[in-house]
Amino acid sequence: MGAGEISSTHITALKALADCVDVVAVCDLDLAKARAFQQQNGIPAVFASLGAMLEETRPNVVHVLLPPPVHASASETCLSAGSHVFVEKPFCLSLEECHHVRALAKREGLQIGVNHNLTFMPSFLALLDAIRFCRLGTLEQVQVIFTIPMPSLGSGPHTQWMFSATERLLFELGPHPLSIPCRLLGRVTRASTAVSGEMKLSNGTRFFSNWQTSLVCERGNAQCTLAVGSGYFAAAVHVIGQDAEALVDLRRNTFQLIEKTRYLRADDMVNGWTNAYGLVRRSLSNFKAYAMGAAGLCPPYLQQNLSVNASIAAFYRALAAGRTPRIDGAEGTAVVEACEMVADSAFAFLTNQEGRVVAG
Amino acid sequence: MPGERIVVIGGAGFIGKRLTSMLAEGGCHVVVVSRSAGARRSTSPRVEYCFGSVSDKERMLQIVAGASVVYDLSLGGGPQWEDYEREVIGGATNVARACLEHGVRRLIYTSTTAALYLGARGSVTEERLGNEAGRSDRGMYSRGKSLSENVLMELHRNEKLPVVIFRPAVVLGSGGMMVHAALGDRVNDICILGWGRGRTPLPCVLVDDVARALLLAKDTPGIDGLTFNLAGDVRPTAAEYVAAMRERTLRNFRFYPRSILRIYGGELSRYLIKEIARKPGNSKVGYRDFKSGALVTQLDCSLAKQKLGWQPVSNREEFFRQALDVFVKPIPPGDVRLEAPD
Repeated sequence: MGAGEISSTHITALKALADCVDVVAVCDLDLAKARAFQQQNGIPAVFASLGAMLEETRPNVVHVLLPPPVHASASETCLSAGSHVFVEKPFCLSLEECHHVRALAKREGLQIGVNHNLTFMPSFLALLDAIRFCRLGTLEQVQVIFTIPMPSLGSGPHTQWMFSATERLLFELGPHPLSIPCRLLGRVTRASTAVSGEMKLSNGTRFFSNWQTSLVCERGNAQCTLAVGSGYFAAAVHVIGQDAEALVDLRRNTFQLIEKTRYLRADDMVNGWTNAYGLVRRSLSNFKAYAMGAAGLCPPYLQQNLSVNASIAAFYRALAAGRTPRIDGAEGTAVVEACEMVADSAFAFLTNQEGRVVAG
Repeated sequence: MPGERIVVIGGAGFIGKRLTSMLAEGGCHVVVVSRSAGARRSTSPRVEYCFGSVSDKERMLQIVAGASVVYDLSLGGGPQWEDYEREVIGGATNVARACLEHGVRRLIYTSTTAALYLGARGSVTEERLGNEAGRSDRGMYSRGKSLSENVLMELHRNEKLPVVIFRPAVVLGSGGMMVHAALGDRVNDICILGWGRGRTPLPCVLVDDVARALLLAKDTPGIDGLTFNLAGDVRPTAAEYVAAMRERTLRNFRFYPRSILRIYGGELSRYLIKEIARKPGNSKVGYRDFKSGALVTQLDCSLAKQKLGWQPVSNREEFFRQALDVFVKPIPPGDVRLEAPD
């Protein structure tokens, strides 16, 4: 459902699951775009209407790849027709919407998956494995940095949904960094946010390019930085546990673990050697994948594909096993709730700064 | 007997605290003597705290007056042998003399299994196990406690001191430490370098079981002059114990086995380097001390069971619950460590 930019990433992932998944139709209001996508990917049917697609093809699963404002309504339509849904982030735009969609899925006995793809980066999965093997002990602190260049921010036009109101950037890109503390530490219970880098967009929207937030979560504390229009792309997670710390570079797909060792004062040296070896090996493997992709020997190497492939594969594995997907409606709701709390606290920050009520 | 005055020297310590509360629960009036108890306030009307050191002979005479039973759980010691002579051996003598002077019904003294040599394979009873008083190749704590035992037994033989000696082994449980020194050397809070291979059962005993044995000794007739070793019925190896800590805390506890010879070699090297550098306070520790630290000898504690009716915890799950769970914070639901891998 939706033949926009992200749909090609999804179709790549679905093709990799060809032994258990058949893509039966594509649907987009822009029929020409949908047809182009259909032809490019050899999809049997194409539709401009969601209702028609659901009625004619009766799909088991619908991937909801639409703009955020219609995630809830499209998901509800699909669930009502008896299809599981796999929704791009953000799951919905408000807690109320999330609850409605989840309640419907529960009534219908259907599953919801949400694409918090950063939590499926192989390097992040390595972190989860390390946590499960008790290498870090209890997690105490999580720091997430997500800064991305965004050429369209300076030049415009600012027609995209995320530029249409101050807090929308947070719902569009915020789920990337915020899905990480939610995954590791549970729901956010309190947020305190500072925003900076103010600019007035061509559409009149008051825009902030830097969002820094401190979060109190159910099982620990987190700090997230979301910055757009920066000169450097960085996506990194620093996790401090009782027994070790971990550094996950989501951009380079590397993972380092620095732990207490039996060697006392040689701890740093042992950790240094171990991680240096891992980094070199990972970097070589990344380069090899890139080179082979560039040579046409394998699909192009895109970091985003790695995580989306894993996220979609995990969803279908859960469906096949008859269990709730790891990133389900509850997890999607937790991230939407976090976005709301961060937005509210950012407006509280602005109100405090400016001495007048600022609201979204 | 309810209402009797009981003196517990070292009653503010690990075992002492449990014993004190058991005695108070039984209706006794307990006087807790401690070097740090001056400012302590009792939460029970049956417990009274007072300051005192066993090396102070006059103070012991004062405190013991009127007591029917005296428990000496004092630890003592210091960096020099003179500290052990004054506080451990001298302290035990002072308390014993005070008991004789005031006609105390029973003196119950806690020694330690460090007073024994536990480096030989096999199982032994108290009768077959002499202490290490005469061994110059044992550490000061071991020798100090051994000599104290000898002094008390001599007073029992010569002056009819009604003394009972207990040697608790590896005491675990609430109020103590989760990672006991008997498991090995702690490099940090999770890495434990074993005393040996970690494959022999450790003579573990729960603090509540020790306190119960001491309590039973108060009124059991016909045990004066006896020594009881106290090790429980559940005896995990060091490796098993560390694995249990890992399982219950979901922390990265690790056990690294080491040969005793290797540990001793390292210690000897350190000693020699310090000797060459003429570092003051350098003392050589004997191989026997290291060998004994591996706790290979299995203690047969049937004497305590026969004479006192002592029944230590024998259920493995219950043992670990009491030994470890008191230190474990509950893992909240949703923690990634509780997840099954995808």
